[in-house]
This record gives sequence, C-alpha cells and structure tokens, in this order.
Amino acid sequence: MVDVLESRLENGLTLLIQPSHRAPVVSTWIWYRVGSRNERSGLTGISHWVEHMLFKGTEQLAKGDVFRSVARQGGHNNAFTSEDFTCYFETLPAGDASGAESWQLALEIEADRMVNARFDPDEVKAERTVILAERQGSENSPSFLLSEELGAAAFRVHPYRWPVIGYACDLRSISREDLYQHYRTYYTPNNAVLVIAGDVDPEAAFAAVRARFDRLEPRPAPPRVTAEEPPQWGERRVVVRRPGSVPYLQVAFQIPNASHPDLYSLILLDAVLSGGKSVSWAGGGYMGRSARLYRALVETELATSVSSSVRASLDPNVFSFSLSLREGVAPETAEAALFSTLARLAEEPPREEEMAKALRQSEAQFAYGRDGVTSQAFAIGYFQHLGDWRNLGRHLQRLRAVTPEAVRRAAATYLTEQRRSVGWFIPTAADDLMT
Amino acid sequence: MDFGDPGIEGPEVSSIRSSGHQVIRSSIVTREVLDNGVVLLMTENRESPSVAVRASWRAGGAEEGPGQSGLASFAARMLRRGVAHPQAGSRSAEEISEAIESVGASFSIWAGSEEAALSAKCLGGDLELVLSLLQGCLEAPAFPQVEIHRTRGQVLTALREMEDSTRTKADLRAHALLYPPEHPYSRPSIGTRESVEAIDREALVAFHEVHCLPAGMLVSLAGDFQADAARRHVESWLRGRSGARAPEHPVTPSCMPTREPIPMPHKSQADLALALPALPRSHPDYYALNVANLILGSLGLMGRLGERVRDQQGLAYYVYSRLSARLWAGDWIANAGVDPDNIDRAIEGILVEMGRLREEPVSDHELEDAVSNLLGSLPLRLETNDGMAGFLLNVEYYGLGLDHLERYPGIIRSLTKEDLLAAARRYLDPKQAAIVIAGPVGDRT
Repeated sequence: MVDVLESRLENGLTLLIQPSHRAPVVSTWIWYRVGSRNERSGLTGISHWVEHMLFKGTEQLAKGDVFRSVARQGGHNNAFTSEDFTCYFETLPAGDASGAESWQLALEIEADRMVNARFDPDEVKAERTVILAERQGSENSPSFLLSEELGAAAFRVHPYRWPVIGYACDLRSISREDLYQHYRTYYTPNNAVLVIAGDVDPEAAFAAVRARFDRLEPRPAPPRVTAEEPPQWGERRVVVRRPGSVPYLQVAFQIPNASHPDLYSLILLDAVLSGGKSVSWAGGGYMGRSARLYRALVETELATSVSSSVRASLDPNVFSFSLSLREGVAPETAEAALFSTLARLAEEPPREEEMAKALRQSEAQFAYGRDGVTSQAFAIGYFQHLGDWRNLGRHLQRLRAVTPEAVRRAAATYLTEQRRSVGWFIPTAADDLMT
Repeated sequence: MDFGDPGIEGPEVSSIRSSGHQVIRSSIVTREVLDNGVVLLMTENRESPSVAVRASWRAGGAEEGPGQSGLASFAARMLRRGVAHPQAGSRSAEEISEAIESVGASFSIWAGSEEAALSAKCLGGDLELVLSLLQGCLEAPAFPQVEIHRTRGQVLTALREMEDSTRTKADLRAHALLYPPEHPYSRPSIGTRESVEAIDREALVAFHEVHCLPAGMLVSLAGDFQADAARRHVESWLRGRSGARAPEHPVTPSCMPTREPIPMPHKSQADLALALPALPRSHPDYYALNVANLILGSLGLMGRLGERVRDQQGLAYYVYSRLSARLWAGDWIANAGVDPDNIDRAIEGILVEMGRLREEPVSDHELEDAVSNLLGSLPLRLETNDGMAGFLLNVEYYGLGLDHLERYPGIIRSLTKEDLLAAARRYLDPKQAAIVIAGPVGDRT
C-alpha cells in the first residue's frame, strides 16, 4: 500500500519518493530534525523564528519570492514548526502547458534555502514584531493560556515544557546571531529528509534532486538532546484565572515516546475514548460522538466538547484531554466524571465491539489520509521523522494486533493520578481586570 | 440567480478538462435532475477507496421569521439527533452516531445564511449505509426534547466563546454595519443568546417541514462508488415533499465610513476588520474584482497587504483581504491582528494599498502571476474527493454550468489591467471603509 523509493545522497540527505499518478500534482516536503525540543531557556521559540526567516530571502531568492513563485504556478506552500521538527512544503502542478516540470520549483527553493538564507538584520528586526504579534494572537485565546501553564507543569526539565512559539521575553531578546547559529547547526543535508509524492517518474525525480542537492556539504551532526524528564511523583495542578466566557479543563498524563511498544495500545485507547484519528494531513473528521468521553461528558451535559490526543514524539510526551464546560458546571464535577471514565477503562477492557469500531475508524482515517499527494507526503515524512517511514505501512497491522487487555493495561499504566497534571481555566468577569 | 432546472432531461455528461491544461485524469461528471427534484452531480474515481458527499438545500437563516435568529442553524444541528422514520424505524442520536462511526464514516450538517448543507465521508462500500442514515435524518428528524436541551447548551457555549473572540467580534460587527438588520447576512447564523433560548420544538419541527424540500436540493458525490445505486438512493429522498422553492433575498449592502472600537481590555492583541460593500457572485464585475483582491490581499503571502504590513512593516502576523461574493450580495473585508500600539499604522498601511490599487494599474507581472495562479491551481483543487465534490456543488449552486472549467481559462485570460483598475475604483474606496477594532482599545481609538 505504501510504495516508497528510499535513497540517501552522499551528503546524508534522505530521499523518499512515492509515485502517484492519479492527478497531475506533486507535493514536495523537507523535514529538518529541529524543533522546540532542541531549544534551551533564553532561546525559546528560536526554531519557529528560523522557519519564518527562511521566507525572507536567500542569495537567489528575494524576500517573498517563495510564496510568489509557488503561487504563480498555481501551487500552495507553507511551513510548520513543532516540538520535534520543522518542515516546509510546496504542492505544485506536475507540469505546465509548455511541458516544463513545474514541480521542480520546490527543489530549487529547498536546496537554496537549506544553506543560503540571509538572515538580514533588518528582516530579523521586522520579523521580531511579526512573531510577537503571532504570540499575542495566541494569548487572546484562553485555551492557549491554559495549555501553556499546563505544559510548564507537566514538564519540569524537558523543553516540551514551553510552547513552540516561545516566551515573549526570549522573542524580544533573541539576536540575529542566535538565529543564524541555530540555522547553521540544524539545517544540513544530513539532518534532513526530502519527501516527494505525486505524478513523477522516480528515476527522473531522483536525478532532479541530485542535480540540486548533491553539491551541498554535510556538516557536523547537531548536538543530541540530553534533557530527560524525571519521573513524576504525584498530581500537579494549575489554575488560570482570566477574564473570559467559558471554563476549560485540560489534563495531561505522562506517556513514553513514540518508539515505545505501548504506542499502539495508547492509540487505540485514544480511539476508544474519543474516536479514531488520522495519522496524516487529511482525515475523515470527528468520529467521537459514539465514543466514551462524549457519552460521559457531553451527553450528560457537563461539557460541550471533549477531545483527547496521544502526542507521539521523539521524547516522552503526554496523553492530553481538553474540555469546554457547560455554563454552570463546576470544573471539579467535570473532572470527576472524566477521571471515572478513565478509571473504568483501567479496570475493565473495552468491549469487543468498541475495539472493532476503534480499529475500523483508524483504518478509514488511514484511507482518507491517502487522498491527495500533500497528505500522502506528510504521512511518509512524519513516520520517517519518528523513526522509519516503513512504519506507515505497518501501522494498521500493529493496531490490529492490540488486544482489549492491552488497552486496559495502557489505561491502568499511564492514566494514573501520579502521572497527571490538571489545569483549570476559570473565567472572571472582564471588569475585574487584570494586571 | 435562478437555480431552476435548466430543462435537461436525463443525465448531462461532461468530461473535466480545461483548455490547454490537463486538470485531472479522465474524469466524467454527470448531472441529473432526479424525479424527486434533487439535482445530482457525480464523478467516479476508482483510485481512491473513499467517497465524499456534499449537499445543500434552501433552509438557511434567510428563511427564519422575525425573532427566530438561529433557528435554521439549530434545526440543522438537530437532524442527526434522533429520527422516527415510518419505514426505516427510529434511531436515537446515540444510535445514529454509533451506526455512522462504527464504519469509520463521518458527517456533519449545518446551516448558513443561505442554505443548510451537509458533508459526509466514508469508505466506498459503506456509501449506501451512509445515504440511508442521511435519508432518515432529512426525512424524519424526531427533535427529542432532551436533545434540544443538549444542543441549546452547546450553542450557548459556542455563542459565549464567540463573545470572547476579538476576531469574531470584529467580523460580526462589520457585517452588521454592511447589511440592514433584517437581512440574514447582517447576523451570525448561530443566532443570539435571547433568540436561541426562545427556540422550541414546535418552531424546529415547523421550520424543517417547510424548508427541507427536494426541490432546490443539490447533492454531489466524488470517489469510489456505484453511480446507479447512489442515484436510486438519492432519488428516493424526501419523495412526495412538495413546496414552493425558497424565495430569493437580494440586498444592497452599504456603509458609512466609520471607525468603531470594541473594547476588550483583557486581550493581548487587537483584530481589525475594514469592510466595504461588494457584489454578488453572479455580477459581471466578479472576476475582475476577484483578481484585483487576489493581488491586493491574498496571492502568495497575503498579497500586497502582506508585503507591506507584514513583510516590510512587521506590524502583523496576519493581514489579508477576502471577497465574499455570495448569492444575493457580497462584501470585501480586510482583516489584521496587530499589537494595540500598531493599530493606526496597520490601518494606514491597508488604506494606502487600497488607494494604490485605484490610482495605478497593477503591473504586467502581477496580473500574469494572478492569472497563472488561478489556472494552475485547478488541478490542486480537484485532486481530492472532497475538493471535487465541493467544486461540483459550487458550480451548480451558482449556476455556472458543467462547462465552467472549459470556459474559465478564457474568462480569466481576457481580464486586463484596466478591468482590475475599474473594479478597484468601483468597489475599493478607502474613504468609504467601515473600520472595526476589537481588542485592548479604549472607547476612542
């Protein structure tokens, strides 16, 4: 089902090509192994800022040229920074009416900005206010404020404790030299994966990649992340009181990293609790209305929405829950209902039909995620980033091997009081402001 | 615009291509007016294991009576919350969700100002099950009291969240300034706290009976399915339901130049909305204004606005403009999220760019870029089942005709710099803009 050609250039760049001839479209992604995980105090948010600077000009491309040249071809492009990775993509028509290989514009852009980004001091200055504005926009949202507090409680040592956008004080003080140093350290062919999915001939695509990337020199391997989150010895709680309109409840339980064998049990546990999710870019929408949390919290009119997610990442992360509460519902009431739903799964395995549904949803989401080359390329890159793209092909088979008892065991092991951090957002009236 | 049956009997067949470009591989679209009155558009694609379904019918906020704001949206949300079908039997909300989610399918139903709509996705083999469930929801919603109560709580919470959002408040106020209060475009389709609290079962049942009709209903399907079986299914929907087609609600938006703060002192950032009346989708100026807007506030990283206000001035993370050319009228709005200290400079930057678009023609390369973007992006838009089903529905909704894709490149290529200049002069007068600022601002800004 997942038919990928893998190769590695001499400079260490990993190349994954998946031909798909359904539509004359090609999606090209480059993934760098750098994110907020690789940051330290004082430089929080630097990975995301570097990502912004890669649109601000290189030796060949003026500021704005990336968006402009992709748009001119009718393509779309963007970039994302996460805790573990930074990725850039361009989805383009395969060719144009004159027979030109339009999609190869993506290779031109990515080969150039892997090494030639300028980090012009004036551009750094202008981008500082843009990023501060991005952070301010997030601060307007109560759930961002709560998740930032909760992250800082759930992690004491590991960089996952700060948001990818970074802290405002760091965004005000990070220098051009800091940014450039970060870029030079992590943007190297040997720290990157290039994924191409779509209407290409693999041999020709390989040659086109070599023509642009072969000349790039490898650089020393970036420093390893040494931070390890110590075990948690008891529940942690945070409360955010701010003007707002709706109370929110967020809970995070420490779980192992994505290479741990329990990952698949946790994914099915999550599906039993709030519906199957896509592992890709595209998906099939929300499938949680018949799942346990919706029944226990929304049908009972304690919450108006509830979600859960397993954060699969390079280092141990959290299994998180997020609820919007109904007017007049005390957070402790909703919290008690949430925890009793989780406790029941820790005591008694899910029923066979619940397991079958969770699996079927995961299979369907997987199929929806194969619709469109952008989504296909994302999934290949994401699984490669977590260890090996081949795990994408094995994903469903591994989920099928999970037993109801393994799901129960995962709930009993990880969704415990000792591992959890609990956050409440308590809205206050807008006029008791605020300092 | 007339959505009537153009008088075609039997399926109308078109292959999707676009002059000069290969847009998608070998797709055939059929358009049929079924016996029950539904217009059905289908395109099969065996290479994908899933199917996307879209539908719309004229049960939007425009059909609400005075004081019923939010009724259409509430009724649409209720359709999946329990059915009592004389033949197919009864199902509770939980049973409907269980049935749909057990096969890894999903669907949602909502209503906007103009229409109610649904979107569903499933694996190919499950389409008949999904169509049956949808049929039950459309034909025999039970509107149980307990579900009305649950839904009301969810809607009220959503309303409270909107009240606390700078972006939503700026946009809602801009629409209220552009459209007369009796027109649905002036208000959010979700309703107000007072109107939602007043909605009762009787009103929901009555609204559904009168407005959920097969005449004027559009359904599109794209993906891996059997066309004959799907057609038989959809043809049985709402059979025998008759009623007059919903009336049109044309309106002429207008606004006075104004600058209105909405103080939300606890917020970190202010959201701006600069609004102007524009035009409906059917207006002959639509394509010229759309391309002018693309250059002004959308193309690439948010067009000229992004270049000036974000890239050069560093004033905002986002700043863009959009043309909403709708069925009965349209508007143009520029939005930005800015630090409260930068509000004046950001507004000034947007107004300057609006003015520049009216004073001098766009450059040759800007026009070329916009044209090649619009044409080049077609294969990307039509690549997925979702994209294709949505596109087909849109073509039918706005009466563009199945040959739209063939005509489209010609329309776009014929636009001149002078056409864009004329459109900008007609519609984008910075002196007329109604400006709303929601965020940490005083009563006067």
